[in-house]
Amino acid sequence: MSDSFGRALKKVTGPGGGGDGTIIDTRHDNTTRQRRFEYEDGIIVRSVEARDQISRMYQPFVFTREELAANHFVVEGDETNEDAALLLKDLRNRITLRRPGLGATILVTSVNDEEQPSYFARNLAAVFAADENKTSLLLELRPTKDKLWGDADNVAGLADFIASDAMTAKDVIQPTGVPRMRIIPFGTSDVMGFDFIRSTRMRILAKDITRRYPRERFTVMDAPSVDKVADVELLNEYADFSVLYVPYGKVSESRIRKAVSKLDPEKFLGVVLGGLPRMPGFLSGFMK
Amino acid sequence: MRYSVETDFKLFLRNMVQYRWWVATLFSVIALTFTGIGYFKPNMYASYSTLLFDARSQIAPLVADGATAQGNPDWAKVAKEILHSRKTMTSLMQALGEIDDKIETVEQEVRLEKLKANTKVSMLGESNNYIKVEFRDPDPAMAKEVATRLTDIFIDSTHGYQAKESGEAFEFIDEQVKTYHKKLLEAEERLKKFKSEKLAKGVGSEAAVSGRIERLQLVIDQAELDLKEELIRKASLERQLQGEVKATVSLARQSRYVEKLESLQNRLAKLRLDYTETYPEIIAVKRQIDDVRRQIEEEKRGDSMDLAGIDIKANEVYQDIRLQLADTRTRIATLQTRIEETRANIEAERKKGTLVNENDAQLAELTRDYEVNKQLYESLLKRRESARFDKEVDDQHKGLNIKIDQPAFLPTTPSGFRFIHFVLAGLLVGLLTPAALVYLYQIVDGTVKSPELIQARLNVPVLGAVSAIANDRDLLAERKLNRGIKLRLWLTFIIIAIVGYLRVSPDLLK
Repeated sequence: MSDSFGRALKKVTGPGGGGDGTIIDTRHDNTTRQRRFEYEDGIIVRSVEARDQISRMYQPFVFTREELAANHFVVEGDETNEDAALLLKDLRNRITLRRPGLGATILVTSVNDEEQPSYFARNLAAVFAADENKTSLLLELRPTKDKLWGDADNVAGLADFIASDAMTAKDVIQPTGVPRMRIIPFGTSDVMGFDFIRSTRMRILAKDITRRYPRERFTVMDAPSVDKVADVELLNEYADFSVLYVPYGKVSESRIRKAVSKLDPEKFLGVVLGGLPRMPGFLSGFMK
Repeated sequence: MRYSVETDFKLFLRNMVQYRWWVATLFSVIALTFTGIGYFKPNMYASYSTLLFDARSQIAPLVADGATAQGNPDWAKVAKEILHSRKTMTSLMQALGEIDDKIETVEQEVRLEKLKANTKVSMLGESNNYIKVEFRDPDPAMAKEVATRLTDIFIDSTHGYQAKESGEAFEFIDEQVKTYHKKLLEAEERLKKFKSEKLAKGVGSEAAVSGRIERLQLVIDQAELDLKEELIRKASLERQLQGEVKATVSLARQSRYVEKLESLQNRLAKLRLDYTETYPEIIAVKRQIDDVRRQIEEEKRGDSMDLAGIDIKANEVYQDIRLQLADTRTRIATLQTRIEETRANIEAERKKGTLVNENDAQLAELTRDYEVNKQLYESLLKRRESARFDKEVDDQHKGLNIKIDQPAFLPTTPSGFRFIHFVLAGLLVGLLTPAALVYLYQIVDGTVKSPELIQARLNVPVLGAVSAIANDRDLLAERKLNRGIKLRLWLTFIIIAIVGYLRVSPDLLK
């Protein structure tokens, strides 16, 4: 696994990679054609095909462990966020099992919290991208502090897309330091209110990104609090699944009830209770 | 918000961790406060003596029926009363040389209160035969001395108390005896007076009166019988008298008719001698004869009631009957008079009878009064004698047998709450108080903190419960907090250890 991972990295970081940030068309590649004969099973053929295509994704830079941690990614082997890592993987498996062979759009919203739901959404996207046959796209529907797209201060984002009809989805999708993960940043506009969720441009963008790679791409929408921004309800339409992040000890039962009622029950996966106090080792025996 | 014991417990642990800064701070403050109190509070040494006493053990059987009023007092109460009394404390202070005669200054008053507060009296043993007299003082020698002196004072006072008790009992009974003696005398006097006043009138007893009435009743009954007889006799005489008169009249008339007939027949015979039958005179005479004969016949049939011209009184039988009748009438009158008089007599006797009854009731009451007073007086006399006996016994200190079972000693180890107790209590209270506060907060906390609650109450699937995603920079503050808490706890323990060493070492050096 680590070997193929390394190989993929080498390839994507090589100078011959595509520059547009999308999957390169390799239908007439000889190697793939040969392999098609080798594998009778269509799914494997397809996945191998996809891996080959995906491995050629444009990857200008890769985050080191420190950079990952600084950007609030859960790092493999980090004990601090072990529970979150487990939960994220579990959630990924649950979603992929529900839609075998397909990608999905997941709405992550919250009740009355600022940063943690964003970190959670970001990590969910990263977990999907960890599969070398899949890609993921994080759609930031609210501003965040961390710059997942690299050092550049101003990159085109959602706000720019909403503001200008000239922009295409391709223009706002930026690569991140995590392999196979892309991001649509919130963008440069500070003054934009959350009314954009109702806009036609938003609709166009959502349809575009969710329809383009239905098998390979997992889109995670990092939405604002559902009880603070009423229009988050509209995002149900674009999502296949929704997850509600509930902060520990900050909200009452009735607020959770109200938030849950705004999410489509067909698509609702469940609640994540986050922000539990970190228990010291000697007490962990009691918390099983 | 409560859900189940398990959830509650987990939640409690989580809350303890979440509010660890407060928990640790409160713990340190409480533990150090207790340690401080323990450090500055002097060690108290308790010395005590136990007293064994038998109430009237030797003399009790000598007393006839234990009729003394005082009985057996509640010794624990008495002992407390005596030992905590102002008198005892004053004499204690005199014995200790702290005052000469009386308590004069406020400081001395305060000292007295302090002595009182440090004195403890308790009963030991199942039959409450032991009294423990205890005194606590920072100085063991002082504790011993005061305990010894208190014991002495207590023994003296107890004798005094006993004597006072029995003396009071005797006086009371004596007073009662006097009162009843007076009452008895009064009752006697009343009885005497009554007897001499009423009974001397000779009214006689109730029995005598009723006997008399009975006799009079007999007389009346006899007289009434006689009267009835006489009345019957009178009626019969009157009837006889009536019948006699009729018969006499008829006979007299018949005899007159017969005489007339004879004279007519004689005349006829004479005429017939002279004349023939047709002579008118003869015819007239014949007719007369016929008339007379018819009259005689009529008379015989009794039809005629003509009494005219007949002298009844001349009849002898008639006279006799009349005499008898007069006699009977006289007797009837006599009897009637007698009955009336006897009745009057009975009435008089009855009146007398009620008077006798009243007298009897009064007499009975007076007698009863006298008897009751007499009985009470006698029993009181008995009691007075036994009370006198008790008094004598107590006056000679032979009633209560108090022995010092264990004299006061010099205590070597401090008693009561010591430094180590304060330290331990501080640690325990310091742990329990924040825990209790956290639990209290948990009960009133309305926010959602457990995944189980979301699952059960909201019926919403829970994907998981995780701590916040954090990197080293985020954890910096938390680690700093943890280090601070650790440091504070170590400091607390070190301070307690140092204070403990300072506190214990002088004791060790002694």
